[in-house]
This record gives sequence, structure tokens and C-alpha cells, in this order.
Amino acid sequence: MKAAKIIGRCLLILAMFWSCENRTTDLPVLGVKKVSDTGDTLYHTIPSFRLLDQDSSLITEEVVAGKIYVSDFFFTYCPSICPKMSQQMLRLHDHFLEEEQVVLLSHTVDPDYDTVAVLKEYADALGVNSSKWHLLTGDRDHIYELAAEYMVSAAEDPEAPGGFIHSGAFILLDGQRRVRGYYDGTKPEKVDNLLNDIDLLLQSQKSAP
Amino acid sequence: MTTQGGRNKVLLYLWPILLIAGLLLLRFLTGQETSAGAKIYARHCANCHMEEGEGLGKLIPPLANSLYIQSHGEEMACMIREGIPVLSTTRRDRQLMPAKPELSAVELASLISYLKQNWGNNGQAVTARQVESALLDCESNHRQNR
Repeated sequence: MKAAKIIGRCLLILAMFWSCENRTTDLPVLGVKKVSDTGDTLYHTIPSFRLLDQDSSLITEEVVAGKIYVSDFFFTYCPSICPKMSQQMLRLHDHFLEEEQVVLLSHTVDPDYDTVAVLKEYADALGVNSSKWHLLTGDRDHIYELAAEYMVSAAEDPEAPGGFIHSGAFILLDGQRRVRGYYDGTKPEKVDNLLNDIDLLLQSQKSAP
Repeated sequence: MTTQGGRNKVLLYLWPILLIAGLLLLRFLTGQETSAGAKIYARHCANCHMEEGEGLGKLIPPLANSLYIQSHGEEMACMIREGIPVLSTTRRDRQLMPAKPELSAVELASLISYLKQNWGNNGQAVTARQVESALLDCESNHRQNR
């Protein structure tokens, strides 16, 4: 009786591993899920947005439609974590320069100061290709609402270095603007994981019908 | 018998001291000890100038293999302490390089010595006394730095 119970439990555990097998190569979809009236699962998606990049080009959700993109929040005169984030974002920029399916979006949390001209200067100093990495500015409330949708913190705080607090996360999104992962943008080894996960998403997107 | 016992007792008390001395020697020989300058650099500078002083593109100047670091000495203390203001007439609250008024002359000397003696900058260390006198004359140092 006892043996049967143990065997039963082992089988159950094995079955659990089996069912997970397919998902180990798949990234989870993060955020609150809802169920529609027809019974379909509705995943959390980033809403439409209207922002300007360093070239003064209007950047909307159309630019990332069907593409994998990485998003983050920063400001140009940030004396704390931003330079490290920019260094790592530059790694992604160089790595995926030829891959049209990957786009990078960096949102300033200080749009009053970080105008198009300031972002242009910043991007040029880093040698950024504008079609790969868009540094975005626009309406302050719109940017802060977007940060909430990306599920990261962004706020003005006179006590913080530089006057703003914001997350150091890189957020990975798929072609349907669904969040697929968070990575510490200040740590090279975490960004290694992000590089792998982008490859994974690229593969699954290319093999999808 | 008693002398042998006494010797054993001495050894019993002595071995922790020998162990610590051995470990200190090992640390000294392998150069594992992190200098004060390295700690100050990691805390105050590495976020922007990066771990190995490599800088970031044309945005943040490198400190490794730097002609500037090699050709400047204790007078850099003024720039580090006061920061570099932004060239904007509207936003005086912004700084290109943040000020570090909390750093003492001793800390600044450790930091400058660290910068001058690492990453291909084959320079001389500076003393706290040199930094102190440089800090008394920051106005003319700023002219020199430019």
C-alpha cells in the first residue's frame, strides 16, 4: 500500500515535469491575465503610445508592431544607475544591429529637461543607430502611465540622486506588446540572459505560422 | 615533562596568531588587499566611469590610459569635489559630473593616487598634504584644468 503511494507520487512528479517540458524553451507571459466572454485568455498588453525620438520622429506602437522590443526608463543627467544601463543597452544595440525584428525603446523620466535635442546629443555621443534604438520623450504623464503599464517604477523625487527614481529593469516584450521578462539592466550577466531570451523569442516567432 | 607541557601550551596559544600572520602575508603577496582608493572609486565614480575606467562612448570620458590623468595631479581634487557644471543657462541644478563635497583630502589623495597608478596610467601617487594645498587654491586650479 505504502509502496503504491510512493510510486503514485513519483509518477505525478514525473507527469508534472513532462507537462513543463515544452515550456522550458518558452518564456512566460507576465502580468494580470483576464478571461474574455468567449473564454479566451487576455494577456496584459502595453497600450498605444505617442512619443518623439532623438530624430524628432513620431514613435507609436506601430514601430514595434510584430517586433520584439526591449524597453527601459532613464534620464540623461542621471548620476546613478543610468550609465551602466546605457552601457548594457549599447551591447544589445550592437548585438542586434542587423536583426530587423529587434527594437530598443528608452523612455526619459525627465521629459522637461530631456528634449529631442538633448536626447539627440546623448544618442550621438553613444553612436546610436536611430532605427534600432529610440530614445523617447513626450508628455510627462503619458510616460509615467506607460511605466506603470510596463509594471516598473518611475517618479520624481527631490531626495533621489538627480531628482528622479526609476527602475533599472530592462523589459522584454513580444510582437503583441506582451511582457515576457524583466532583467537587471545594470548587471552584464543578467543582460546575457536577456540576449538568450531574445534569441528564444526570435526562434519561436520565426517558427510560428 | 613539565617543560614539554609548557611548550605545548605555548603552541596552543600561539597557533591562532601564526595563522593570522600567515593569512596577512598571503594577502600581501597576492595583492588581494583592496586599496582605499579602489573602494572610493567603486563607491563614487564607477557608476559612470565604469569598473575599469573605460568610460562610456563619447558621453563619459575614460580614465584608463588617459593622458589627462597622467598629466594632472592633486589639482584634480577641485574638480572631483566641486563637480562639473552643465553648460545650460536654464537648468543650473544639473551637473555634467556630480560634486562630491563629502570627500576629505585624505580620501581624494587615495582616489587620485589610485587613478594615476592603474589602468595604464603610470603616474606618481599624491599626498593628502598636496591635495590640501591644492584645495585652498581651487579658483586658479579650475583655470589650469581647462
